[in-house]
Amino acid sequence: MRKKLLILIGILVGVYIVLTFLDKGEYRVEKQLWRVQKDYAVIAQDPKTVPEIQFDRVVRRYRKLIRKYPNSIYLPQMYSSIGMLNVMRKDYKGAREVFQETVERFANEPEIAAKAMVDVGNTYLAENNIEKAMEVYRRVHDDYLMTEAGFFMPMHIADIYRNLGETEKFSKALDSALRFYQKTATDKGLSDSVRLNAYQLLLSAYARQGAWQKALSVAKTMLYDFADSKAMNPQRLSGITRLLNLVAIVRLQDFDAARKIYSDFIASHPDHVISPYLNKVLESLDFLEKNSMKPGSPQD
Amino acid sequence: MSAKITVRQAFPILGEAIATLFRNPQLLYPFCILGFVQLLLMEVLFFANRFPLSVICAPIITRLKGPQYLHYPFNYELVNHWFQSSQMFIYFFLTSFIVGKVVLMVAKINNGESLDAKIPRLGLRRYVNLVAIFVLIFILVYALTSGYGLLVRRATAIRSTAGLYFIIKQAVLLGAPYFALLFSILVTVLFAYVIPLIVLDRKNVIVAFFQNFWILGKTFMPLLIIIFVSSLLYAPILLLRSNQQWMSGFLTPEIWQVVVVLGVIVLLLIDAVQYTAVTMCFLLNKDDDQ
Repeated sequence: MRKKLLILIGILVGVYIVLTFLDKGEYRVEKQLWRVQKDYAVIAQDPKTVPEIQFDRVVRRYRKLIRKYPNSIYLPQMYSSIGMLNVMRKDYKGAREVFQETVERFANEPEIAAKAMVDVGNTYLAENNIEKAMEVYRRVHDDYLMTEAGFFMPMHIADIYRNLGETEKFSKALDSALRFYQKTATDKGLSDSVRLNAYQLLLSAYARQGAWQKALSVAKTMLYDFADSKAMNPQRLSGITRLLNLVAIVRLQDFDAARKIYSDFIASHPDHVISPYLNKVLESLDFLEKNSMKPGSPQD
Repeated sequence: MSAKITVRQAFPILGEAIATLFRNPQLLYPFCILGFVQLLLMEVLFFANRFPLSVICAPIITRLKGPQYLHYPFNYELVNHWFQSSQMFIYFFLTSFIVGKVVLMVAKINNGESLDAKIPRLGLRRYVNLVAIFVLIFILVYALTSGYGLLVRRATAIRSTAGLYFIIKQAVLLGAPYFALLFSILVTVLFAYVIPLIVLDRKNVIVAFFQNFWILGKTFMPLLIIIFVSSLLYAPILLLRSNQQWMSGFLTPEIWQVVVVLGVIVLLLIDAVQYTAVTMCFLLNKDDDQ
């Protein structure tokens, strides 16, 4: 019996060793990274109370992981965490060096490089060096236009000016953003996905301007022009209807505008997958209108 | 082993069951096989998100649970969830067979026969009856646990932060794993003799079911003590697992997995002691009747 037991244990151990040996994936990195991330999370909770030595220890552990797994897909995350640790201890120069290192190391991966560049810009912003931050953000937009970060930059710049209360600069930046998103959205040579993103940001820009009619028109265009596009998915469609409802009902208080857009869509696309859903939205609109207070009623 | 079973004899019987296992370690062998199958399954699930198993398993995991379960530490959640789900099938088809074999072995020991000789075969008919009673036991435990789930739902709706209702709420919520153990103990006791009746007396599940209560009526208390006391061995594991949320802050998922593995081993040991003791009680009662 003892022999049989040893064989069973041997099989279990053998399977473990063989499967561990065969695995050349990222699991090992994930495991070690998770442990360092736990320490990172502790620091991030209240960085002011954390002694410098603890920052250094976590940075060292990230650096060790980077050296050990130089080709890991988690490398950008590790660099980003080191940079953020420096930001947390207000070592902005050190943080910039790390983010810059990321840009250089991932020069061939524009999404990662662009995000790191945005982080560089954010460090200047944290130092209140607005002009330098804007310069970096503009560079992100120019150098990495087709990345998520680069694409979003015009809006980001406008938002920063708005948050700083610089009305004139905000207005100028928003106009510039509007022009960019308008041009991109209507450029039929670009992919539907890019155009849809541009429309979405265009809508946001109009919303920031308070141009609700224009925002509604953009939402309508997104629904009508991209209903059959491959770039459109259920999440996106429901997002568009939500935006449309928000603009038409909450901002413009015009139930009929929303109703007309949906009804026309159903009439022109009777077999579209979203039509039954839009019918329900229409029913909800009727219900909402019946039960909502009209503007000018005593409760207003 | 021919005395009448009284409450006072519960502990000596339990002691004798443990001693029998020590004297005849072959009795543990079927449970070792069961443990081996369970741990091998856990091992396969553990490596399911990694090459080479990931070639087959990764799409399944992504589809059924989501891509995050392919990564550390969420894969541990998946391992334990799927392992728990697979326990039902192992319980129906393998544990029933193993327990049947053990009951036959204990009866052989009771007859003074050597375990080195060939153990009698269980046979398909007895196996099917065993599977049926194990399914019934499972359904009953499941029903009781689900009923308790309703109670938990009601308790979570209690908004009191002090007083009697708060105490009730806390007892219901924090006591959930202990109540589950209690239900399992009660159901094990209620159907304890069905297994020896099927295996040793070759009764079918329906006859065994009714005869079980007749024998149980005479030995309920000592049996309850035996099952309860032996089940207490699982209490430390339960204590650890019921505090998982709190302890996971400073314990790694690997250590938790060790706790799960320990739980599997402890449950097998408890099963070995309980089924040996139950068979001994059954045989004692039989001797007594004769």
